Amino acid sequence: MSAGNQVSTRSQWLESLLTTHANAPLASQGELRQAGLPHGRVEDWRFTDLAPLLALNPAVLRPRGGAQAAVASWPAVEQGVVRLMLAADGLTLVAAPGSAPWPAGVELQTEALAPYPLNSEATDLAPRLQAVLPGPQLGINLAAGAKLRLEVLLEPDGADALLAPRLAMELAEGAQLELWLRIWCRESALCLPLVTAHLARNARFQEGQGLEGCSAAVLLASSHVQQAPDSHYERTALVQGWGLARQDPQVLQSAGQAHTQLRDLALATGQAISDLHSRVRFEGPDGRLDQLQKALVDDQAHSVFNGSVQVPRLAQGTDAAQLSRHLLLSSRARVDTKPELEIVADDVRCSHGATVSSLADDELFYLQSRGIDRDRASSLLMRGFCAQIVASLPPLAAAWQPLERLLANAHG
Amino acid sequence: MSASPALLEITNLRVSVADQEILCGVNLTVQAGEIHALMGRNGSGKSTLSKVIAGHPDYTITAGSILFQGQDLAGLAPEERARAGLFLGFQYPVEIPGVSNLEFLRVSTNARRQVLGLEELDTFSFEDHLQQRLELVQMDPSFLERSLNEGFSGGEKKRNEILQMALLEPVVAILDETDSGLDIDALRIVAEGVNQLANASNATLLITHYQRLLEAITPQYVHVMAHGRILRTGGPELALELERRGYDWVDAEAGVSSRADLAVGVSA
Repeated sequence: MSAGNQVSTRSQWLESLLTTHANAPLASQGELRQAGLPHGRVEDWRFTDLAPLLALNPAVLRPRGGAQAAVASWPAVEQGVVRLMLAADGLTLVAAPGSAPWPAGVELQTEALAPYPLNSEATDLAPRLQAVLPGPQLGINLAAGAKLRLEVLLEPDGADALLAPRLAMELAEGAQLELWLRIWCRESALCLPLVTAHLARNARFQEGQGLEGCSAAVLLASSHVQQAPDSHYERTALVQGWGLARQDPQVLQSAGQAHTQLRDLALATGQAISDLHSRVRFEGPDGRLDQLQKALVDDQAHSVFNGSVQVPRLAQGTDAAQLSRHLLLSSRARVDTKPELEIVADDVRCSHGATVSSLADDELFYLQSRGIDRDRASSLLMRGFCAQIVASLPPLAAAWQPLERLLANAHG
Repeated sequence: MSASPALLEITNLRVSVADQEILCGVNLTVQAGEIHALMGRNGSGKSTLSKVIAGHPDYTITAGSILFQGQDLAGLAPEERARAGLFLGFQYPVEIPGVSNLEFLRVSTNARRQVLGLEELDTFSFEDHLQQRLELVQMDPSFLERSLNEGFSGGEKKRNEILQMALLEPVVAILDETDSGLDIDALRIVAEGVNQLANASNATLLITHYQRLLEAITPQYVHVMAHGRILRTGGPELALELERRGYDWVDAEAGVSSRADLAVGVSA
């Protein structure tokens, strides 16, 4: 396809989407039209082939209700945990069977959430698309010292699903939120989750995302988290199955002195594209970041990592560590990995590293020399590669056996 | 030598890696009930020999054979050799993050037990099975919960190797510089473990640089390896002589100063 045709295809795709959802706010429509779908000349999208997105027909994408049949297979709800699921209309979240009531100190925002304000530099697509598309919304305010354990389970039923959930969290001083967001698109779908959070002093947000799709499904996920000093944010995401999965987690330590931990594990098989573009910015001193990104890349799949860490002059004393590790399971798999550290402050500790390798021969031989056959040894090594990330998931995720699910998919 | 059955018979073994000959005609027979020590300078081929016996894929056997209990090992994968009862204790045990030490020990033990016709051990029965072996190497049980060898000290890694040996109950154990990096206490514990595991129906091949290991484990035979071949064999007194005189005299008496002297057609 020529460059001109690609532009034309992208424009047509976008117009078709906007025509189908003509009731969207005009301002948001205008912003999206002006920005357009990103293309390969935009640095942040250079390696992200949008073909799987363009293969979806925007005129038929519709919100689909939650798969009721799936409910019976879900693990029992832990005591005190609020479990929400996609309602039959595909546009609201309702309490799942067995859910606990909202605990004290939790206030739900009843009005529709305003489109997330984006600055002109923002290149993530999910918020712009979300602004013109209908989807379930959840706005939560946690009062000072309040604690909430929350599961949000989104499994749309049927093909050509449009799933654009928006979760907006406000955590007051000392509030604690544990979130397990599980999305499973079994058929063709466009999935656009957007999680936003503001963490006041000493607030703690432990977020786990289990994002599972199929080869005809596209994930464009964004999160925007702003942290006050002494707050603690942990995000761990497991991504697998999508034809295209692009994540744009962004964290702003608004005055430094906060702790951020980012963990990501992707499994890319077939011709899938799995892309993580993270951005962490320190707007004050003594902030900490601990980031580990991993991906298993098989067949002709393509994994992309771009880890931006911005440490301006006022962010003295920043301690940031970033590591990207790719495990290639096929000679035709492809990886593009790029740390992007912009460090202006001079009194900082910032480290980064990237490895791309196959299963290590010395590790395989060691296991084989103990009577473990090569397939089982490979499987053990893959489990070991993944386990470090899975261990960071919030406790709520354990009942869903995320590691077993991922490894089962890895072995086809 | 005694009339015990030969467990390991290496005959005129020649081995290359990347077209470079590393082993140039090794001959060695190990019988049941025996402990052998293999000594030699760095680069003499000791570790290569151990890896070739264990089936490391990087090495090509160009001539000769290795028989294990009468069976030619050529063509057997490393795991098949291990299940049959060959054990290699690594000089540098590999660290594998994320692989639980306990699970690794259980899987490898069950692979060996299957060949021995023994029942597979589930998680609970394996922990019982493990307990007495842990005492043998005086290993802190907390190491079982950790990733395989990850963050272990040199001594802890070697204890973990001997623990694996105790669990797998090999017919022939080859311990490649098990004494390297060990303090005196760890060396004693490892040596006691090896002594307790040695019996009339198995055999041990110790690869070492130092006499101090052989003070704790007494071999019947000491071999000196140089330039890819065993140049001299003697009793325990040979190790003492090496400690005193070094290796040069062994080369001189054998009339060998490089692998080139042992090239095909030249060696005896």
